[in-house]
Amino acid sequence: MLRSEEFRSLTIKKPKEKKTKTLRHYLKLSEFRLQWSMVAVLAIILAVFTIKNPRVFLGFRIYYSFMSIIPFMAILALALTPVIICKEIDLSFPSILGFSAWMFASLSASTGNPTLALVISLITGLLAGLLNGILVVKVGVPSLIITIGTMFFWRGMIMVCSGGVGKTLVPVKGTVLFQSLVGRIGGVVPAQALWAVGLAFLFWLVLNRHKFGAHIFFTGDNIESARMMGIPVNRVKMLVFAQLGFFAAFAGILVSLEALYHWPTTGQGFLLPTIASVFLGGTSPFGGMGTIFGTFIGAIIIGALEAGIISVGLMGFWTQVFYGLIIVISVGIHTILRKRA
Amino acid sequence: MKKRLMIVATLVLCLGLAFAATGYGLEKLGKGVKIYFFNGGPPGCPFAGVVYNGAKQAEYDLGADVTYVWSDWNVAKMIADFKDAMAANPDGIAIMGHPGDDAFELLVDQAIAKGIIVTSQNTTLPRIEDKYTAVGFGYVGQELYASGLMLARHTARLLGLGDGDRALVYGLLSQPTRGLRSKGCIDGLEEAGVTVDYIEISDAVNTDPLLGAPVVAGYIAANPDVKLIITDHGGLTGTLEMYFKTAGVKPGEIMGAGFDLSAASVEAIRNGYTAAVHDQQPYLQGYLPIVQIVLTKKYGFAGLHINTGSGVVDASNVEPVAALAEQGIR
Repeated sequence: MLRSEEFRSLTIKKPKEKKTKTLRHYLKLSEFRLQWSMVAVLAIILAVFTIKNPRVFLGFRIYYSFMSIIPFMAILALALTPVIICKEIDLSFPSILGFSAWMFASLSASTGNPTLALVISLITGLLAGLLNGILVVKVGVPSLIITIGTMFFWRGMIMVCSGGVGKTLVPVKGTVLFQSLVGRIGGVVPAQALWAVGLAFLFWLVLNRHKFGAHIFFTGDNIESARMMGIPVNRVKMLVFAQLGFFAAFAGILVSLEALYHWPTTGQGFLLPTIASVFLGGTSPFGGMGTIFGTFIGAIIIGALEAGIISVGLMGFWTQVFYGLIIVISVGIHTILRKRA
Repeated sequence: MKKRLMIVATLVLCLGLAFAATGYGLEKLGKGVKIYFFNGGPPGCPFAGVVYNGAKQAEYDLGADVTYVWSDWNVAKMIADFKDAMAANPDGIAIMGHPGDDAFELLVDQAIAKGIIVTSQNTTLPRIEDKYTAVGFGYVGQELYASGLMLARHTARLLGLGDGDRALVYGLLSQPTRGLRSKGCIDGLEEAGVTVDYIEISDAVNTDPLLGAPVVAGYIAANPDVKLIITDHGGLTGTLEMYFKTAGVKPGEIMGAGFDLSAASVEAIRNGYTAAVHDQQPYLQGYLPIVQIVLTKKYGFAGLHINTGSGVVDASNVEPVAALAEQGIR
């Protein structure tokens, strides 16, 4: 039997080996199919909306709104994707988002230094995510269960610390930090949209062009095989949870700066749309499979749906009916296209 | 020196006796009274937080023993929470009326049969109130339909809206009694000749108002002639300025209006994005139901019906209440 180091050198460091080549080939083919089927679904949805209301969807205003709000969900979905590829789940990220955002708002007000507040908040998010990872890996509690616990814990901490009262961020407006995080580039492009695109590229690089990305896929695909191949699966899992905490904190800071106010409930509404974005983007709930591109397009679809439905004139109680219906149809079309590709 | 010390000691003793005599025979009225209090929303909700602040102050002032229940504005959870509260057999339960008479009547019947005092706040339960006023079932809150009507009429008058103008009501018509406020808004605007569109607030937006931004932007893009957007929700009203900015609307182009003051809605009034906010004084909706239960328990007083929603805040009168809104009292 091969020792783990020898196995790793055969499978990862030497990509020309037949076994690795087959796996990568399979992953690339799946990725290609996923990506194009997602683009097709988005194109169909946008085409329907544009035909129904060309004035809205051929104008800039609606896309400006999408660029202002969708990036928050997109950043969360991007960071959640590696966790799900690893065959884990995290339900606590909206609470980590809220707590880190409270810390940012609170420290900005008390120190008058938003940059320091940003750094401390990001570290808080990172540590909160890492705590999830440690509890999952070292204690062995299933991630679904433990992150329900930490979800309530961090939400409770927000209430305890804030006393249930919101905090204004108006004094931060006009600072360099504000402009660089949520300012309007050239007066038209929200900075958060550029952050989301940049982070999507970074995630794509890590998942597809870095050894750590391969480790994530192997860990999610078959943890025992990955372990035998010498992949430090425990460290991989802890890192994916930690990065989700970090980016949840980052998204929370962006959300609070965009609204210039921190509500103690900030983040609570992001849980289901974010998870929906990841699954709609083709990431497998069984682990080992998923794409950053798919998640990114999934976030755009989920974020644009309700506004699209309303702008084509379906109002009142019909909105939710069509929202659910379009998600079901999208997943159906996506699955069919992927199979045919 | 000794003489002086004696004089000082005598004075201190006299003062002590005077204070003791003032409080002689009196104790905190609510001492030993166990109450379950429904805040309505989730912990941290801007509105429910102010209700909680009022109840907490009453708990302190009266010395009652209060357990707080947070129901996420979810009517099914309110019913489940009521059953839990009843099982604990307290002296009194103060409920939010959102689930409506039909859902609550049988449960309130059972609670009162067990000797538990029940009263209500924020949303009326007219049938149950009629039935049990004599045993302490009161109501503290706005008259929902009237509040909606008041805000719509006030805002239409303020902005000079009339025939041919368009407005959006973004509300919660689907909730049995709570929806009456959205209905009041719609009727008040239609009465002025305004064409009204309606969008129901989704669960996600109900929990995290920020997520409503693309909805409002989509509506504005499809209906650029809209003059007024009324949000029937405290959190959404506090987010109106952000909605308009996201949709690329300048101050005054389209005006917002809504319910429940907060620091954010005060700022939006100052910045010219929000025309008017109905203030239903949620602090009182926390404070007075505790007083009601304690008084009924101690002296058997009947239920009081108190209307707390009688004012609209706009640019002309926002400053005096701004500081209190920031403290979570108004």
